[in-house]
This record gives sequence, C-alpha cells and structure tokens, in this order.
Amino acid sequence: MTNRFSIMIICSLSMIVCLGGCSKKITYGDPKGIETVTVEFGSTDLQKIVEEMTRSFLNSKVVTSGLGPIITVQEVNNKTSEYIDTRMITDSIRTQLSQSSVVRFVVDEVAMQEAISEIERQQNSEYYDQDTATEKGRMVGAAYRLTGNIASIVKQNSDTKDVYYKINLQLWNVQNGLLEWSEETEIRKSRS
Amino acid sequence: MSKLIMDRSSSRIFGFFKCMALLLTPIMVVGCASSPICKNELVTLINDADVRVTGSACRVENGYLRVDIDVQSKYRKERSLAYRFDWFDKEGALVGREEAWKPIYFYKRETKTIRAVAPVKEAVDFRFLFKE
Repeated sequence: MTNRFSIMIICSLSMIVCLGGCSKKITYGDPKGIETVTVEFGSTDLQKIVEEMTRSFLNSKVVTSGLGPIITVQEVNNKTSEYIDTRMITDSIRTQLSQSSVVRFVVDEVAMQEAISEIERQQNSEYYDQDTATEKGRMVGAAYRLTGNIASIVKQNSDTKDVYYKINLQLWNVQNGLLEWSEETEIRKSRS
Repeated sequence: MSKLIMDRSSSRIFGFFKCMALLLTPIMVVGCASSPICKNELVTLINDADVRVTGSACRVENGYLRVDIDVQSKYRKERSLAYRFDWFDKEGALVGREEAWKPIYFYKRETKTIRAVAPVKEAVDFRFLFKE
C-alpha cells in the first residue's frame, strides 16, 4: 500500500516537472523595441521608416505653406526579393500625418470601391432618409499623390548575410506633375 | 556753429537711442531667459550605455522643435546602440506618440550627431534616451 502511494507521488511529481519543463514561457514585449530576430524586414525597420518620413514630410514646403494639402496615397512598390506589406508603411504614415491635423487625405484607389458601394447603398436603399443620404459627385479630388519604392540589395555567403534596404517616398502634384517632396531612408542589417 | 548744432542734435538722437536701448535690454533679456525652448535637455542612459553626450543644440523651424545631439561612443569596438526621444510641451506634459527605439551604429569611439524633429508643434522640450 505504501509502495503504491509512493509510486503515485513520484509519477505525479514527474508529470509536473515534465509539464513545467516542456511548456514555453510567454511574455509581452515592447512593441517599440529593437527587433533583431532575423535580417528580414521587421517592425523596427517599419517604425524607423514611418517616423523619418513623417517628420521630413511635416517640414516640407507643401505642409508648412499652411494650405492644408489634400493627398491620396498610392502604392509603395516593393522591389525587394521578400514579401513586404507596403500598405503597413503607407497606413502608418497616413495615421501619423492625419494626427498632425495639417494634412488631409482622400479615399485612395484601393478603398474607392468600398466608398462607392456605401454611397450607392445609401442612394438605392428605401431604408435611408434621402435628405441625409450621401449624394453622388461630392467627393473631393486630391491635389497631391503620395507614392514610393522600397528596394533591397542582399549579399550572402556561407557565414554572413547582409541586407541593405532603401525606401524612397515622393509627393507629386496631380495638376501640374511637379515633384513637391521626396525623401529617402536607408537600413543595413547583417547576420553573421 | 552749425557743426555744434548738428553735434547737439546728434547727441540728443544718440541719447534717445541709448535710453531706449537701456529700457529695452532688460525686456529682451527677460524674454530670452524665459524662453521655454529646451530648458531641460534631459538625457537618460539605459543599461549603462557607455556613451557621452558632448553637445546639443535646439531651434524651432517651421514651428517644429529641431534637436541636434552629439553623442560619443566610449566603446573600444564597433557597436550597435539604440536611441529615442520623448517630447514635452511647455507644461512639461508628454506630447506625441511614443517613439520607437531606433538603431544607430558607431565605429569605435566615434562621435555622431543625432538629428531629430519633434512630432508636434507643441513640443518645446525633450528627453533623450540611449541604450545598449
């Protein structure tokens, strides 16, 4: 009886030790911290690009003239060899710029279909009061378009991998085609 | 005689400007002294980052506070470190979003000038944070 009891205790303790040892620790981290898990494009790169671009843009003549430019955001072309969600870059830049209240954004090409669908839904549904329903033909056109490129150069041998990123953003005047602002930022990461 | 009259009038004009200068100087000095731009310039070194801030300058351009900070690495090897800024308004309250830590690469004992622009026009002061 004593033996059986001892075996049961030993088994239970072994299970506890095994479960404790096998389970991986989960912790929260600093979302603004430096991330160096791999050399591929990461959160630190995204945050660095967004911050530098936003600050430079806020000091551009288009913004400091005080005219409150109306901008549409176009695609940032990914010319790197890896998958990068460039919408994350433009979305973050747009968010930070809109919080400055000196720039206004109009619906972009990607979200246009959703905007049209909403207007049509309001126009065509008998459930909406037509006095308050959004009218067609009232959208504001953008005076400027924001676009850009992200490119990379990757070098690798058996010991080392080196990645160089270059991102360039441009603000074009829609009316006259003039380049109103452009900024470039670079990132170099190495794994050895 | 005319020379004397001119001298007297010149002396009166000079005296007037002298008085004005004496009256205005304290106002200008007080105005400059009470300027809230970068009065604290706090520097925080985290994880015992072995660097030295050798100089700093700030100015306002287009309404935004611009800061230049000279940082010298005291490491004997090349080192990748990180920095960020906190921005404060004239009441000392934190303004703008929390900044991301930005990597910066130093060659041994290199001095670099870090340039930053405040995210909002309300920012008049900053805290510079540096870590390993």
